[in-house]
Parts: sequence; structure tokens; C-alpha cells
Amino acid sequence: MMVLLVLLIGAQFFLGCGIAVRLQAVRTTYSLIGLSMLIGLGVSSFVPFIVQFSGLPIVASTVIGGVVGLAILSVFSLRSKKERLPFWAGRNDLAISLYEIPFLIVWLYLLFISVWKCNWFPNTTFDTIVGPDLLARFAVQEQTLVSSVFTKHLPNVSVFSNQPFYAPFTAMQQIMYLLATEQTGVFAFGKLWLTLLVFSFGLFLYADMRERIHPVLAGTLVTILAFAPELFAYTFLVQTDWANAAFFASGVILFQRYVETGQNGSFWSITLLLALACWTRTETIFFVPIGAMILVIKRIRVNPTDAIKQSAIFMLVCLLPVLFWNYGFLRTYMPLPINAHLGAFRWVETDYLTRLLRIVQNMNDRVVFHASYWNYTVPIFLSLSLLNLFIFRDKRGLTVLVWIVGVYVLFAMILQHVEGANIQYTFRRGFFKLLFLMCFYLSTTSLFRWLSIRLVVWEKTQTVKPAD
Amino acid sequence: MADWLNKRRWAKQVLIGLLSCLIILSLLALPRNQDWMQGTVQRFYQQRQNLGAKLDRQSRERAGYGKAYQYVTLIKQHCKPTDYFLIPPQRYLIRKAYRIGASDGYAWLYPSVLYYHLGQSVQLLDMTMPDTALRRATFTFWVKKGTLELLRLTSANHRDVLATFRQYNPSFFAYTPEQARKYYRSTK
Repeated sequence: MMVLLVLLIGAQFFLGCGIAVRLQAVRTTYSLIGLSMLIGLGVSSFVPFIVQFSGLPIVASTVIGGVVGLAILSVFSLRSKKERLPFWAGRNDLAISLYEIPFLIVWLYLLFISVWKCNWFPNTTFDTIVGPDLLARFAVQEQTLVSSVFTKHLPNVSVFSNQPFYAPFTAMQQIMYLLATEQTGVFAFGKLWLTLLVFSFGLFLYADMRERIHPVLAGTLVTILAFAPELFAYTFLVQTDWANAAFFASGVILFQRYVETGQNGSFWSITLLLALACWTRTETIFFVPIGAMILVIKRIRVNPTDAIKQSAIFMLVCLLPVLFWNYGFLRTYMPLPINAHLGAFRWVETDYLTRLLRIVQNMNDRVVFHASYWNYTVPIFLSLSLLNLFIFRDKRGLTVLVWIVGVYVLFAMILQHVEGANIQYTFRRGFFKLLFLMCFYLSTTSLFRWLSIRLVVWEKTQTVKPAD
Repeated sequence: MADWLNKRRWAKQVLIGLLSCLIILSLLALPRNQDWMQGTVQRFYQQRQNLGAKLDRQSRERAGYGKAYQYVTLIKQHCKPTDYFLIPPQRYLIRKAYRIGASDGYAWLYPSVLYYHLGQSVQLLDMTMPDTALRRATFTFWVKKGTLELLRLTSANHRDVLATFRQYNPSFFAYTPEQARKYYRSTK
């Protein structure tokens, strides 16, 4: 059991590592470790489909064998690009400063109990056991993705909502980890991937912010985020939203790097991560135009054709997983149960603005300013952002702010127009994305940069020893 | 000189380390953070202390699924794959035995939840199915003197059970205990 599990985790990591290094997505070893696992988790979730389409059974040898095969290809493709590995290039960036240890202790304290809760308990949340884990459990039992859930159960019941149809990434991870653990032992319920995802994203976020600002400031921001109870709860409750937020925020973090440096590899990394975000939750496709718009605005003066071409590629690639799952797999390869009604669009003909404003007010009252969900994260973000704008009045980090405002406004539109989208569940869990971006935004502001420079200067200043 | 600089660098690291501790303590001192750490997070650690040693699947499922575990186990023990289990309308159970299901609102009656737990160990029948299908039902849950029991359906009780169930909307579903409570109160 442990051999298969180690093999799967290792294969996912090396699969992601090969892609991340090839795309030259990051510069430091910690960022690379975090991003490799994230990309590996995302890309490997397509393997069960390859196995299914090849007419092979969904069993450990085919699925895990497939991931291992891809990982070998991915690493093999790096043989002439070893110098792109940060540690290969002689950069020793693994050292941790003494002052980072208190933060690490707090995070480990929270992470430890999250790991235990995640892996000791079976899946219990309603949305998961009637959605992704239902699909996974029967796919493993019946060795096919087109299991009796789709062919026998759903067509014969009158009550069911869209949970089985919206979380392919979560379902595929559950399948892979259920196969790897053989449903026995400590990790019997197949949820270990969530722990790995939380750890990888946390590492990537911290490593990226640590590059931008002093580690103490980066540590403070991550700790503020770690103290958000609702966000913490979903580090052990399997759903698709934490993964969605992690892929989305990683994409935006790299997007910011791309805007700052214009490095070509970053563009493909952003596209891949945002496509994976769309894979984890279909509605994310509505947020992709924000990035496309920024790309056009940034490059239109330099090269208009290139700007439009690049943003079109960006949107099309992000659209692919949405089309693949919703139309390729669900409606073509495997016909939907006749009684399934998914994601209908709702026209609003009267009182458009009044309704929209009511939605915005409810979003704020029930989620954004609901203190017991996020403790102090939102007030800290708002007050520090205002302080930054008041003192510095510059555009630093503006792109991230555009993402935050854009996602917020588009969420209001989604709630207004998409049947089944609601504030209590859709927006509350979708808000994770915004929390990550709020935290990241602060790390890009002039205020944090200024504080950071002060700290670094003081830390590095070498006072001359006075004469004895 | 190098030694002196080294010491000084360490001293600065320690000072910044103290700043880190101060920041963490300040964050922990904020009332909501304090309540959360001492309440929720401590409760989780307590839970681990009580349950952590048990690693067998059965104990973990019993603790995780709550009451649903008892009921699906009961069905598994008495029904065969050839049996047909008639899912009673949720409204029936909420009205007749609210206290027993107050904590979960009988959300485990949701067809996909039952399928998740039972799979093909029994055939599930939904009250919206045609009469010809419902006639095949061999088991259901029935409320007797305020308690929930697994009832074997026979030619003697089949008609009465269906007549009772038909008084409740089969398409209604309370997904949360709050929704179930709201419905229960509306019937008072």
C-alpha cells in the first residue's frame, strides 16, 4: 500500500517538476517544490481519462502506471535543461532564518491537526459524498469512469443536484488515492491529496512572498490567512474549492510576475494554472477574461497583434478543460442522465440593478464581512490597502487589485444569472480565491515594500566594531 | 572581527525573531483568533486524543457518519442485493420522529447518500417511481411509537405504508438540519 502511495506522490511531483522547470515558471527551490506538486496534482488528474479512453480498466496498475509514465517523460525532457533547476545552478536558497521558525511552528501546529482530521475521518460533507467521492468510490469499485452512478442510480432517482457533475479534479484525485491506498490503512479514505495540495500551495505562496518582501512580513501575511477559520476548515474537508482557489491564486501570482518581467515561460505557466483552475470549477472560466483584458492593455501599445493573439490563446486554453468535461465527457462520451439540469442561465428582465445591488449587499453581509468565517483577514486587508493607497498613491500591485475587484464583480453577475449559484455555498467557498489574492496583494504594495526595505537594511547593516 | 560580526548578525536574527514572536502573540491575542484557537482548534486536538488511537475503518466510519452509519448498517444487515428498499419521504420522518433526526435532519435519506453507503447491496426505490416499481418494495423505514424501525413490507402492510407515504411530497428535500427544523416548525 505504502509503495503505491509513495510511487504516486513521487510521480505527481516529478511530472509537475518537469513541466515547471521547462516553463521556467519560478526561480527559487521552495517555489519550485510547491509549484511542482500543484502542477503534478493538476495534470495527473487527466490520466484516468486517458486510461478510460484507451479502453483499459481503472485499476492501480493502469492509472498509477500512467502517472509514472508521464513523470518519466517529463523528467526525461529535462535532460538538456538541468541548469534551469535553481539548486543545479548553484543557488543555495534552502536556508531558513531563525526568525522564520516561530511562524513555521504556528503553521505546523495548525497543519498537524488538519492532516489528522483530513485523513482519519471518512468523507462526510454532503456535497462530497453525493458528488466527487460518489463518482470515485464507484469508479474504483467498477473499474470504469462510466459507473453505475451514471448509468443506473442517477437516471432512476427524482432528487439530485449538480454535485456529481462539477468537480472532475476532486473525483480524479480521490480515484487515484483510493487506488494507491487500496482503501486500507491510515489513508484509507483517499484524502491525502488535499493535504499535499494545501502544503504545496502554502509553500509556493510563502516562497513567492518571501522573494518580494522580508520573510517576517511574508510570515505575518500567511499567518493572518491561516487564522481564517472557514479557510482552515476546508483544508480537511474534501471539496473542490480549496484546490480551485490554490490553482487560481498561483496563476495570478505568476501573472503578476509576468506583468513585472515579461518572461515568456511565465505566460504558459499562468495559462496552465488558470486552465487547471477552470478544470477544478467550471465557473472560473468567467474570471479568465480579467487576465485576457490585462494582457491586452499591457501589450497593446507595444504590439497590438501580439497582444490580441496572446490573450486569445490564454482564453482558449482555459476553455479547453471546461469544454472537455462538460461537453466532451459528460455529453458526448457519456450521455447525461435525462433528468439532469445543469447550470441553466437566468435572464433578469426587471429591476436589474436593484436585484444586483441586493446581491452585492448580501455578499457583503453574509460572506465578506462575516467575521466568524475569516476572523480578521478582511478588515486587515482593507485597512492596510487603504493605508497604502493613502500614503503612497501609486500603482504598485494594481494588477492584483484589478483581479480582486474583477472576481468580486463577476461573482455578483454569476449569482444574478446562473441558476443554482448561491451566496451561502458558491460565493462563500469561491471567496477563498479572493482571500489568497488579498494576502498576495498586500505583499506587492509599496507599504510592504517600504517596511521590507527598512527591515532588510537594518538586518544587513554591518556596524564597524568600536575600538577597544 | 569576523567573529564579532557573526555574533552581531545572530543578535539581529534573534531580535527579528522576537519581533516574529511579538507579531504572532499579537495576532493570537485578538479576541476572535483567541476564541478560535482555544475553542475550535483545541477541540480538534481533544478529538484526536480521544479517537486517534483507533485506526480501524469501522470505528472511523462510525465516528464520521454519525447516525447514518447505524441506519445503513441496519439495512445492510437485513437486506440482500435482491431486496428493494423503499426510501420513505423525508417529510414523513421529520414529522413523525423529529427528535431522533434533529441533529442531521435525516439528510442521509437523500438517494445519492444512500447509494454512496449501500451501493448495490440493496435496490433503492424512490417514492416518485411508478406503482409497478413500488409494488416490488420489500423494506422501508417506519416510525413506531416515536422510534425508527426497519419494516419488512408484506402484502398485509404494503398498501397502508404506501398510502401513508403518499401524504408527503416525495420531491421535497431538506439538505440541512436548519431546513428540516424550519419545515418541522411550519407543521406545528
